[in-house]
Amino acid sequence: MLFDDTFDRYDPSQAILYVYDVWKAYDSVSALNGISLYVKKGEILGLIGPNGSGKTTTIKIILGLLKKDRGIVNVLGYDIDKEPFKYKQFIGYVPEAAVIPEYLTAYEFLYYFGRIRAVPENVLKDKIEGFMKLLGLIDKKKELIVSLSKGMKQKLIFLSSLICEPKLLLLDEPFIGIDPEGQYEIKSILKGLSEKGCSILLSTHLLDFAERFCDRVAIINKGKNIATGDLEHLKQRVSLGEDTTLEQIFLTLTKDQPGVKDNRMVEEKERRRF
Amino acid sequence: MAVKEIYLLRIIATFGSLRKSKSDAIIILAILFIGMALIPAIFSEGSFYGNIVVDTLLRYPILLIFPLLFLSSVLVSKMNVTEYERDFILSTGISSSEFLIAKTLYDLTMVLLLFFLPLLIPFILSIVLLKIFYIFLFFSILTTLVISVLLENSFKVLILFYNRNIVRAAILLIIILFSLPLLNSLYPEIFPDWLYYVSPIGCIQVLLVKNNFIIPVSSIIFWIAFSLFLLFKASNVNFIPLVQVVPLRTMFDISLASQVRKQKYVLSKIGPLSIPVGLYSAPKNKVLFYAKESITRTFRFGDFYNLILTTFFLYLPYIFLKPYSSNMYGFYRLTLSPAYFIIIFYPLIFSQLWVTEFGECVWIVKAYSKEFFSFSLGLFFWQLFIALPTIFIIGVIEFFLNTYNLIPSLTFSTLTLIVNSAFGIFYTFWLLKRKAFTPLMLFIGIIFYVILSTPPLSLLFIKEFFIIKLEFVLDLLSIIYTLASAYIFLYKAVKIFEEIEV
Repeated sequence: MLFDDTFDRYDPSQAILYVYDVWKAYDSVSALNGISLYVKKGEILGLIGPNGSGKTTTIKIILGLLKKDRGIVNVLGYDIDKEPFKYKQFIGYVPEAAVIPEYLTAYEFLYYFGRIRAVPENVLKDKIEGFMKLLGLIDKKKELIVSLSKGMKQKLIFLSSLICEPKLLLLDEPFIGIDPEGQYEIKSILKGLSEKGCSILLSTHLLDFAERFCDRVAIINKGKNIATGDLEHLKQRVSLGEDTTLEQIFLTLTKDQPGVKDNRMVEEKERRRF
Repeated sequence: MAVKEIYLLRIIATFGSLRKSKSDAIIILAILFIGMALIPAIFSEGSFYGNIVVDTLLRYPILLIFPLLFLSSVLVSKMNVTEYERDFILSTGISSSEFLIAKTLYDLTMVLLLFFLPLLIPFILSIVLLKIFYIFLFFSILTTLVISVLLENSFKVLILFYNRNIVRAAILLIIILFSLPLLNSLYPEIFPDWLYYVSPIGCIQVLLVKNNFIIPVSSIIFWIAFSLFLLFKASNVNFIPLVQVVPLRTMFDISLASQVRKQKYVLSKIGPLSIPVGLYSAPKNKVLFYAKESITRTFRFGDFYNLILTTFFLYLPYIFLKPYSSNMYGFYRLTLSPAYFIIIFYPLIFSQLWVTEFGECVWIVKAYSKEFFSFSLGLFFWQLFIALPTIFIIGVIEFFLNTYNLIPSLTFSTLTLIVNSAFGIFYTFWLLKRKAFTPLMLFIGIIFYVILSTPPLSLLFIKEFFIIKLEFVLDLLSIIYTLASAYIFLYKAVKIFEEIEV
């Protein structure tokens, strides 16, 4: 079954992110089984799949936080095996359910991550203040993170991913805990970034949102993508009619492949080895 | 280089809580004064009191245990980073070497703050007064701390890439090398004196006792150079894809593998099936149930093994150390093994283990049960279950070796353990209520532990002095103190546990 009609025709050198036939097993249990995808300049690719299907593992491999067993990952022309650090300066990342150092102030958090990402000190201050105004956090600038609400923390994490002016944004469930107003603001920012040429890989369970927001969607299950393309392309794949929603497509494509091993359990198994 | 930023970030993340509760900062200032007790000894070097202090330091070099505790932690764990570091720092373009250097600097800062800050004032004073003995004593402790941190960080990286068993064997070898003076101490007619020079601990003893500087100082310099070389090798390794994440609150983790198994609990709490069966079926004796649950989990996750392993490796170098000022025998004869001082700190280590491993499951107990006293009592028995066999084994070994007096040792350690275990439960719940584990809380914990250990210890000292008539009364007082304080701590722990929000 061809998961993506366009993949083989696509020129890897044109891709901002190019993932080809990536495999990953934790202690002999497969987590990724040959996943392949690409993201073009300025494109928003949605990554959707059931729990434990390999979305977070894929993102962590792209970030160099996990070691893949096999396959090719190219980011902005860098082969991540040969150049494991350079490409990361162009990446922004919002982790899923992230923990942040709670006894820093909101400003300090952004300041230190800006400095670690080599943003010059003279521009960093204005940049942080501008960002905080954008998402209504300026009043919380001097407050300790521990006293912020879950949504505010998530907004802060999102801002930290923008601080280095990324060319590729990797977002793992970025809207968890954020109120509708905040979500709207973040979507606007993402759209703006995309128009300016920033590519976005976005993992989400919000299928309505993915349907309306993403240029293309990759549905992954059991560690490999079972369908990738824009909505029209995916509709053709399932042949359920013109009014088919992404939710129906998703359920149709994934229901035939039950019994997915939860990757968290697999990851845990790996940890126990040490 | 992002080393400075990563280092500062860790420091602020660790001490940032002081901004919320400024009064806690006073505790840190109090640390400086712990070592003030040594000042009279420095002034009166050579006097009776000075000799007692020197002799005790030589017999109970408790400070040297902690660096080894750090070192031993590599036996069971990997290169750990905190969760935010993995997500926000390692995912950026910083290299492994930058991160490793920043982490090592942070560890050095923390270890010096925790273990050397109390000695800072006596150290400065000994320099001002040109008391060579104390200058070398403090300097040697400082050096051992530095060597231990460097070795620990290097090994934690190297362990990822080479054969784990080889690396573990190398660590064991280092621990044995550190312990070589024992052989000479035990069998001076067979093993030569120079074995002291191989071990930094031995070097310290030589510096203190034998007035020989050149060789031991050279040996210490060699150890520093060796550990720096290992750190250099480790910093050339790209370990980022293989690092393990630890929960934020155990960022400062003094020992053992307490950080390793949190994830199992995170997994175990997903879904109703993972809730302990007994909570559904309401066991008749909840104390036994909670004790059994804790013991089963301890075995399942290897804590028991780690604890025993660590204890005996820590214990080995100290078991045979004998007092050098033999003329002191006439005045006091404290017949306790130094190993029992490790026991005093057991509950402190347990508290960490518990916070890490069970803390995530507190909601289960809170949601399904109101038997908080049973729960606390169950944990109390869990601590005793793990520590008492260790005390007993050490006691038996020492009895057969005829090294120390078994009865006072067991009396002292058992009573102290009971008080400290009860305090350990209290302390654990207090940590959970605060929802953080910072060095500050470790300071507070250590101070309280020392204070708590003092009454039984003092009684034992008195008992040693006035061995005949007061013995029965003092034993009785010790037992009353133990039972009363253990009950009060458990009672208070339950009250705190009721207030914990999950």
